[in-house]
Amino acid sequence: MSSRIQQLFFLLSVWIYFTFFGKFHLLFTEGTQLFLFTWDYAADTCMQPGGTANYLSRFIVQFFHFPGLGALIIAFMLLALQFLVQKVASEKPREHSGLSYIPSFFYLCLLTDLTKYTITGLVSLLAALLAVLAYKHIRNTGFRALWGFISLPLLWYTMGGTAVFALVILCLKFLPPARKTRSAVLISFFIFLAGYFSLWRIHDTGREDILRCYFSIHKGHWNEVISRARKKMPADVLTINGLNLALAATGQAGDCMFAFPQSPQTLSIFNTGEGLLFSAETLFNLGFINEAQRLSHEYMESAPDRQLNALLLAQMAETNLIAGRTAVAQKYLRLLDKTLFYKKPARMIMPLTHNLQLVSAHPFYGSLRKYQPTGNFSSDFTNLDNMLARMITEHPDNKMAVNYFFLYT
Amino acid sequence: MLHKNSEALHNLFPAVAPVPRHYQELIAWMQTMQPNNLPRYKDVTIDASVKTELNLLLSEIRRGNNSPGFLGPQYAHTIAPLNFMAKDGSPVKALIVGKQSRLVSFRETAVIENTLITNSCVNCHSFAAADQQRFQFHLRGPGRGTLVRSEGELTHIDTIIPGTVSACVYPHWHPSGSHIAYSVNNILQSFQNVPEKVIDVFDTWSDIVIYELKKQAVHIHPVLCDSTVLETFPAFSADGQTLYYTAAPFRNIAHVSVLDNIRYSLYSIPLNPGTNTVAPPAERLYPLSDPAGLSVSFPGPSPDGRSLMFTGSAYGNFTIWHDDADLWLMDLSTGKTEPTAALNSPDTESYHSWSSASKWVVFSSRRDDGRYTRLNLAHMNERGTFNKPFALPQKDPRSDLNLMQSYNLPEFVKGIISFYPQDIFRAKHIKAQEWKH
Repeated sequence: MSSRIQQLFFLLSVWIYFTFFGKFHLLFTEGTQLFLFTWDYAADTCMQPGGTANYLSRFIVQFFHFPGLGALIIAFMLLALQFLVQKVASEKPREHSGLSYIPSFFYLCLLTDLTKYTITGLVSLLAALLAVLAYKHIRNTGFRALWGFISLPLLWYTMGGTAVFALVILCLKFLPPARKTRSAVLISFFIFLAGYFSLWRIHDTGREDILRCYFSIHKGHWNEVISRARKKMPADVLTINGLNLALAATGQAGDCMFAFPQSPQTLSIFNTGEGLLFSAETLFNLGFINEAQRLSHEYMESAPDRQLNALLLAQMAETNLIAGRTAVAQKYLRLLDKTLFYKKPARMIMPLTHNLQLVSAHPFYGSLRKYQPTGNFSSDFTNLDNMLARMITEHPDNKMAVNYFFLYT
Repeated sequence: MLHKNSEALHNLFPAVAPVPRHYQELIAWMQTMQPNNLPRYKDVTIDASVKTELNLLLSEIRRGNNSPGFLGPQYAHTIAPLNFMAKDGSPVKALIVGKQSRLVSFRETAVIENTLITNSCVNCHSFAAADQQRFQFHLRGPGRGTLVRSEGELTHIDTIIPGTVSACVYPHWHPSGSHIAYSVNNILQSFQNVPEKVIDVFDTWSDIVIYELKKQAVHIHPVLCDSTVLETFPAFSADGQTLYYTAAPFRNIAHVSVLDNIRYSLYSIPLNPGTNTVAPPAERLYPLSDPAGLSVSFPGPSPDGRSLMFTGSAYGNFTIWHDDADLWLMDLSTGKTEPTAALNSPDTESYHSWSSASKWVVFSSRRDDGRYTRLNLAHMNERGTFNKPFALPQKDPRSDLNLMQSYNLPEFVKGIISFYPQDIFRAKHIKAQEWKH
């Protein structure tokens, strides 16, 4: 395979993978961060060690809002990794052996779970490779030494611990360049084969399905959740939990519940991990607005990097709006107003914060506002049926709560 | 996802929320200080009374320690997310940070960040007579205990003893620095479902103990550990001869509705000079009879011994989650007690702290949006009443509008706290001894 064909083949395969098999990972990664176009945000992020890499990767991740574009960006970044490795290793394109694709395939396998491995490491790695390449191309010995002296601490501060790899990568330049032989073609073939095999083995379809289910219930696409479950029987607790909500929303709880594998956990309110997101959606749609807000907030606060989260910030603006706490809703909407892709919806919602009558008249928020309990009671998630009973006693027209209550009876 | 049906309403109202009046005043004052920094707010006018107060604050700080109206140039507070504890104690990683700030330079530094101590948090800091050299805070999570710095030494104290319901909780230092009064509480949270009420925090059991630093002993006095009474929020008077606290009759809390009937009153009990042991009987100071809808929290005697500020709400004692909580002032010479109208707002006012000359108070309030706690400063005039309060000055006042965290427990101190996180690991470990009276 010529190098151009190899590159095109790699680019296309990465794009296809993320567009069709990792779409919801991309959306989830984008939705669980909040990139603000403000100087304060830039300064706060970049002033931390490794912060520039974080800032750049978060800037890139916001374009994952469009999964096709996000997939293309990742594909080009992985190709850039291959190109830089090739350059650093002094390989001539025509004598291409495919060895330079190993780091790219390795990183591709890591990125199959974007919820655990972000592209920050990839950004850092590219920066480290660029620094090494610059070192390699500086002919003047004095300048080269100076660059080596400056670039490593600079990389450490701006890009984080990946700077250590710059030293390791530097050693690659002492490797002998690969020669064009018949075996080089074979090596390329086997590297691609091993790369795709690893990708196939490491890809977690179940996790993608969970995230797909989350986005469906988040957007209220109930029929989509049910039809997918009918095509492919869900096996994990979270997806069935989301499915139960969809059944309640469409009035099929009583008829179809046991067409799917049920257990006590599938009706649980979760208090850790991504279960918090599913439970926040459940409570939000059932009308327990305070608790939906609390779980959203807890998910956001328990994120490892404690980033704000666009999806949940939007939901917290909505819950505050429904509960009548307009000043808090304005606070969250002001933050969303500083983003690229949440600015428009935030500006659409902002007018509601000036007049609660508009919230009450709203087709979606209005009904949830109407279902707010008037008699106080404490939450008890181990007995959600008791909470539901109180809700439907006070608001028998809350069909979602009535149908969800059927699941318990 | 933000709902699409709102699009039709988009043009009815301006899309950008106005800056609250409370902040407009501060922004305008900031422009007079740094005219080049905030060009976007040139059209904002300043309230004359607020301008006077802010300039007074500035001049007092600049005059320094010798001024009779001296205000400690530092304050310390913790800053925490909105909800910081899951109901079941699940591992929600709380970001709780002790910070100190210079009121004029706006330079804010973290005393200790919990990110440096994995899965732990710090809270309930307290200073002896606003002395930055003598302070304590609690560490929760792994390596839990009470960190006390006194006489230049940091000690890590395990205050769990058999005779109390919990480790030491709400602290107050004796002005001499020899003793720290603590409440010991069994604290629960209850999450509520009506729009106007989100959370209630309450004690199912509480007592008061006094820790003596020299003897490393927790003194248990029967009068402060009555099983029929919930005693909490101890506070020593400025002369060190009296201990103030709040107490309510014990109630078995089986349902959230019981909480509405738990009302705390303010008590005082004399102390024996030298030993600081209590000398019963305790005296009920306010309200003198069972109140209709007033519960007392956070008694704060002023350093000049003339006044006592407390937080009053309809019930309970965790007032930061009570919309009706207001600050009250008691004249200790006459007993006259009334709400501090100038400081209160329709929303929550809760924790408060006096400056060392009793001329200023810093207090927490949720007047901006009803949810996020912010700090406010107010000056006491010659008539003994408070002038109009103002938000804590910041380099860019808008930063508090966007801050996604709440301030907590503001305290004036006289100087910069010098503390390194690694000091915690070098601290001398002590197991407190029980000392029954």
